[in-house]
Amino acid sequence: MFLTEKIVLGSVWVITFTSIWFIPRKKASQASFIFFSTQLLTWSLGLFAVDFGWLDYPVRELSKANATSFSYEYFILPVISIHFILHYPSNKPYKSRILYYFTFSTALTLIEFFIEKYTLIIQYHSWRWYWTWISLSLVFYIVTVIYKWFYKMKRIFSI
Amino acid sequence: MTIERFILLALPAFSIASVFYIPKEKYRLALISFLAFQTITWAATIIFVEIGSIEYPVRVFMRATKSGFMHNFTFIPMIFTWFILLFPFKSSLIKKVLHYIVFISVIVWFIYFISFYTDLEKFKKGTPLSISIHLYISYFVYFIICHIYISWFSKKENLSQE
Repeated sequence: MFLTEKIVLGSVWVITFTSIWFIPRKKASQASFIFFSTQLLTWSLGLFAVDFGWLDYPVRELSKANATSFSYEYFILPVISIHFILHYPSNKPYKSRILYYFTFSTALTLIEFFIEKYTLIIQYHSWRWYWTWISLSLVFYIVTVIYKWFYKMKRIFSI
Repeated sequence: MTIERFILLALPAFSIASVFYIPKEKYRLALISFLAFQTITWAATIIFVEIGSIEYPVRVFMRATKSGFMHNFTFIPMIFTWFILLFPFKSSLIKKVLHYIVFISVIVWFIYFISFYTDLEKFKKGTPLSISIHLYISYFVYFIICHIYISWFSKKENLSQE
C-alpha cells in the first residue's frame, strides 16, 4: 500500500542524507546552527498550516503522533537550508542573489507541486502552490537573517 | 479558565519573560542551547506519543499534533537554556553535579505534577516510581548530549561561557 509514496519518501531521505557529506567539515558548527534554527520556523509554520486545515499529509511518518510531515520539517528542509546558506553567493551582484533565491524556491515548489499532484504525500486544500513559494522564500530569508546576526555579519537584513 | 489553559498560557509567557533576564552578551549562547535542546525534546515527545506511552489530552494545535507543543517546544528548552547560562564552570565537580540534579528535577517534577493533577499530560504505562525514574534517566541523557554539543559549539564559535 502507498508504494509510490514510500519510494518517493525513501529516495528523498537517501538524497538528503547523502547531501550531508558535501557539507565541508570545517563548517559543521555553522551547519548545525542553520539546521536547528530552520527547524524552529518549519515546525511552527507547518503546525499552523495543518492546524488551520490548509493542507494535509495523508502518508507520513509517525502518523499517530503528528499530522505534519516529520521528515520534511525535521530533516529535509533544514538540510536544504544548510546548503542554501553555505553556498550563498554573497559576493555576487544583486541580480544573481535574487536569481539564487528564485531558483531554490522555484525548484522546491515545483517538486512539491508534482508530489502533490501525483502522490498522497501532501494534499492541498485551500493551500496554493504560490503559498509554498512565498513561505519557502520567507523561511530562507529569516534563517539567513538569524544566521548573519549570530555570526556578527554586516547588513543582516539585506539579501 | 481551566487550570490546563492557564498553564498553557503561562508556559510561553514564562519563557518569553525569562528572555529579558538573559545578559546581552549571552544571547547567542542562549539561542543555540534553546534550539539544540528543542530538537531533542520535540523529536523524543513525538516518538513517545507514537509508541503510545504518553498522551497530551489538552494541548495547542489539536488537529496538527498529538504532542504537547508548549511544554516540549518552548518551556523545557528554556529551562535547559538557563541550565547552560547558569552553569558553574569554575566550581567543583560536586557543584556541577548538583547543578544537573536541580535543573533536571525542575523539569521532572513539573512533568510529574501536570501528569498527576491536570489533563495536560498522561502516562499510559508504568507506575509512579518507574515513570519518575524513566524521566530522570532520559532527561539526564538529553542534558549530557546537549551539554557536550554546546561545549563543542561554543569552543568552535568562541561564545563566552564564563
